Amino acid sequence: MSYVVGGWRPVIGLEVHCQLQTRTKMFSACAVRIGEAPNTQTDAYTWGTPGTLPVPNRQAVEYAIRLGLATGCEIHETSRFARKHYFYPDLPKGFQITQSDHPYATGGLVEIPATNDREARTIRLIRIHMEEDAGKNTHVPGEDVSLVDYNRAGSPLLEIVSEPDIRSPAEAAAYMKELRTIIRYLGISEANMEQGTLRCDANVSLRRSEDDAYGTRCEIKNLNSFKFLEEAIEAEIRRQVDILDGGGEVVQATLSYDTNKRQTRVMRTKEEAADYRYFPEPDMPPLVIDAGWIERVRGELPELPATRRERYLEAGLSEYDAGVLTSDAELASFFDEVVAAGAAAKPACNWVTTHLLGRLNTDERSFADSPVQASHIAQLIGLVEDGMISGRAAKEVFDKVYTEGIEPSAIVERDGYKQVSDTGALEAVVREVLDQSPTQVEQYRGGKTKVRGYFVGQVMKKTKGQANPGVVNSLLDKLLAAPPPETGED
Amino acid sequence: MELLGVSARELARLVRGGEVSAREVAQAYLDRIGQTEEKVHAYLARLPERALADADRVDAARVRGDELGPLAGVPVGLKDIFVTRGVPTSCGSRMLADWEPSYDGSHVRRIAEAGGVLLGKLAMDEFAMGSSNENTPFSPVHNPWALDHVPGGSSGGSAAAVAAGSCALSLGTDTGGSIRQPASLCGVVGIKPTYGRVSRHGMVAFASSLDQAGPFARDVRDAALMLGVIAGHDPNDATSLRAEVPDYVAACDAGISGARVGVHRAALEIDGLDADVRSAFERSLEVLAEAGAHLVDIELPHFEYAIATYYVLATAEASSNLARYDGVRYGLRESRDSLLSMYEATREAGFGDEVKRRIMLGTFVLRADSYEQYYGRAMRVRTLIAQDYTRAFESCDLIASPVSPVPGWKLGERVSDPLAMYLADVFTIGVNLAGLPGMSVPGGFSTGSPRLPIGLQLIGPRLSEPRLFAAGAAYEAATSWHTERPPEVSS
Amino acid sequence: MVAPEETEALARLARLSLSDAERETFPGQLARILAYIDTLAQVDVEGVDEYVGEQDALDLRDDEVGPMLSADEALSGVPAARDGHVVVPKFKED
Repeated sequence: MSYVVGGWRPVIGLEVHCQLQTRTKMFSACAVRIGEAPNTQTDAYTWGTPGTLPVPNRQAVEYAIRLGLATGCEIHETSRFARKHYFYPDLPKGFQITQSDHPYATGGLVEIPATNDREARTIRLIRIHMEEDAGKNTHVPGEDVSLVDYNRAGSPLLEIVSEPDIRSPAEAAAYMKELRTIIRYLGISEANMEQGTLRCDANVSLRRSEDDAYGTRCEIKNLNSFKFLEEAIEAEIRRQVDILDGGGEVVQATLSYDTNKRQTRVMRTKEEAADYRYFPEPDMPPLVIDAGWIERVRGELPELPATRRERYLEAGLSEYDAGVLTSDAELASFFDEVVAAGAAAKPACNWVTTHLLGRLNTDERSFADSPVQASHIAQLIGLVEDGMISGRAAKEVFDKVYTEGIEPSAIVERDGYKQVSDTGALEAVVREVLDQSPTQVEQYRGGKTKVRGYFVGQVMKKTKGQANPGVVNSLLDKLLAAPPPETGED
Repeated sequence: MELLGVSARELARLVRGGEVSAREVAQAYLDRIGQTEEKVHAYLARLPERALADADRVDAARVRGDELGPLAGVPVGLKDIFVTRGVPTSCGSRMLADWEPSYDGSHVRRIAEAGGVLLGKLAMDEFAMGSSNENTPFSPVHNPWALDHVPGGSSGGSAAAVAAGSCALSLGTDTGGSIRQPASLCGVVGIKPTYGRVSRHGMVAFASSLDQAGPFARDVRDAALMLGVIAGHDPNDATSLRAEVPDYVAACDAGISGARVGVHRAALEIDGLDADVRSAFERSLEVLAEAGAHLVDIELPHFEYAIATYYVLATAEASSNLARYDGVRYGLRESRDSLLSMYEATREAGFGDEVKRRIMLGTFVLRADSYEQYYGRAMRVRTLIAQDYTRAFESCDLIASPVSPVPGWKLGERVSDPLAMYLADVFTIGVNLAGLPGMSVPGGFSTGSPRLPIGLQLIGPRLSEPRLFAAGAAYEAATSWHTERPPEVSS
Repeated sequence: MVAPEETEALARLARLSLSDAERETFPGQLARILAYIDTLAQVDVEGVDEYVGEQDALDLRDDEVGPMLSADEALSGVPAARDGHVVVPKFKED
């Protein structure tokens, strides 16, 4: 199902920045902490102090290798850092150390899974490279000054550059989400768009048909949520369609997205574009990542979302359920634990994604500090399957497990949730109910089968909800079908 | 005791043995500075309190019975490019005139750990860009041998202070000849080590792939002593080499007998090679031969392209390294209403002409549309130049050459012609481009008046400093140039 | 020849404003230096790699926190500071 606006098809590529969760910065032994008071997370290098030199962080490089391998990139044994120059108050040295002609990873791909309304897609990656972040400028409203905080300056970043393989705004968001999931699986970044540990720029161009050459592209900068990413691309497509349909030409430009007006706005055109004057970083020899290192990291990679999703589908889960579970590594691991504890996949998925996830989200808790253990859920499912408790009782038991953090079986025992499935015992109760409800029995036999619910309710009332509804129903079938009981008085 | 005429090695020995206190030595040098400075102006900042405190620390350590380092009580001056905590480090620029660093660089730390006493910070061309020490908003340095002459540059203050006897040892930096050329013009020993031999951490950067710190001394063995202190791997500099540091002083005794000394004859035919410089060089070759060296002719096919290559690469790196001086975080700020005008006004006021010229040139060669033609090509020619030396060292152990094509010139004589100034780096620049060690030792004097020193350059393969010291010491033993002192500042 | 406009453009790119005297002298000086540099065009660099130098492999650092600056130390030499921030003249965000 292709995305077409007024006969134009978008071609989209994303440049994603991901802040790595290392203890220290990319090129200096300065702590990286988010949300601290301004200029408290700095060292001499962070300030671009004369005489300081960059020394790369091994952990950051290892994280970079992880992402490169997870996306199937070629990891280059030799890569180089380079300097990218521009003047900006938040850029301490007047240049950013990045990788230019010789990135550590090239090629690779990200698979976007299918959903109900979208086919699976493969988005190719051009490259991934390492670089250092800039600080932060704040514009003071109503004053003629801006304030600069260098806490973030020098933080380690990966930039992931896709081929222009994306064909709709929704697909862009889906790609971004899949990339985020991969990054989180790898444990290399919080990858949180709101906090800015995952950021995105989008390149957009239009063409009439899939066979045409690419049109002139424009780059939308700083898209900091999935919603704005999608909206901004939609807005940019509208802007370019209007230009082209009006007989104009799209001019290569850098844009920002105005979230209030829901419009993209040109910041500068190609003619005004900066000349970054890249050249190889002379303060560091080439970076060497040897085969032994690559193989060790490969051996330590966790199961990746695509593999996991496949495994869930094979276990009989729906695409939707597999997608929900896989999107969150913690959730999926918890689910795996429930299954490992003996539960079947479908009820396990239901309990984990509906009941537990809902409660945890409401309480802003993570799976790590969930009061309900995976073994608890497996046990609960077992109790229901064995007919020990009813589905309704199970929900109540679950709530108590969540609040009290003790085993479901103990709660069932303590609070008398054990279901009565003994046919003999229940038949006496059913007979008693029918005896006490002659009018309703009359109505039922006269064809008004709705009153059956009334009988069930009465049985449940008398058994304090512990009657096995299946057994009750079959007893009702038997006794209501039987000839009217003889009554001595009549 | 006459302390000023004593070598750094001897001073350290006397202090270690308790024959003289570090404080006495420091005071003698502080007094000497008082006499020479009004004539020479080598010091941008004198630090008498710091010097005496350093000296007292050494004396206290001796009294405690601590083992004292190789520079125990030796008074040292540092080019003002070396980052010194709490001491203004101007790099010869208005931009950093009031900058007080928050940390000590590796050189300051290593010298302090070795027991060295810091006398002050020495004058230089702004951001180490220049060959005469005139590129600075501060007062120019005067050559101790002829006070109306330049001391060379950019480490002019470091060379002049050692020549004037106003410090026992000093440190300079060499990007295209900035140690060897002033050493030559001031008649002292100066060595630029192999690239990476000495850390660059705590040295204000000019051209990162070429910059290297090194010592100035009155003789080869003192230079060897100082290099032994500052050399060695530093985890704060990713380009510093891990190779072990040999005993350079001991290496001075190895002699030159049997060594093959290469001479690039074609280079002696360049325009502008002074006749006195040429004849001093020819005599030096005879001295080396008499000391047992074999002279062999070598070729350096890309020699003539070194200056052009250098001025592309060094200015490119400089334009990058100096981008941080924008008035935002430290140093000079010219306050303005808009950010752009603050940047421009700060950099206009903070940088001198030569620095601006090089930033402009460096910016030009790195622009996207000129990169391949200039920067990319120069990087390839640099490879060829380095290969020339590698090939030359297949047939020789050392290369001998002049240092500067001319002896010192008069202050103000050449300031108006930047290209002519650049061309004077012809003999020194290839060494930086190839990352090799090179040393200037006193090698004679000009014949006219004033009588000006002329240096002899010895160049070796990577990490061949021991061989250079051996050759330099052998040459020194056969000559007396290094024993002469400038008459105008003699006490 | 470096045209005066090009000199101005370079100065802007490098955030330098030139004095009248520099505007006068720089174009000619830069032109002469560039003409000299153009001799590099004579060198056959076909198949020659850009210089890397004989260096040790790049040392990587363990991910451990080293010496840092307190906000006071960090801001002590800053030309203009306020509430822990560095202050600069307002500029257009782009």
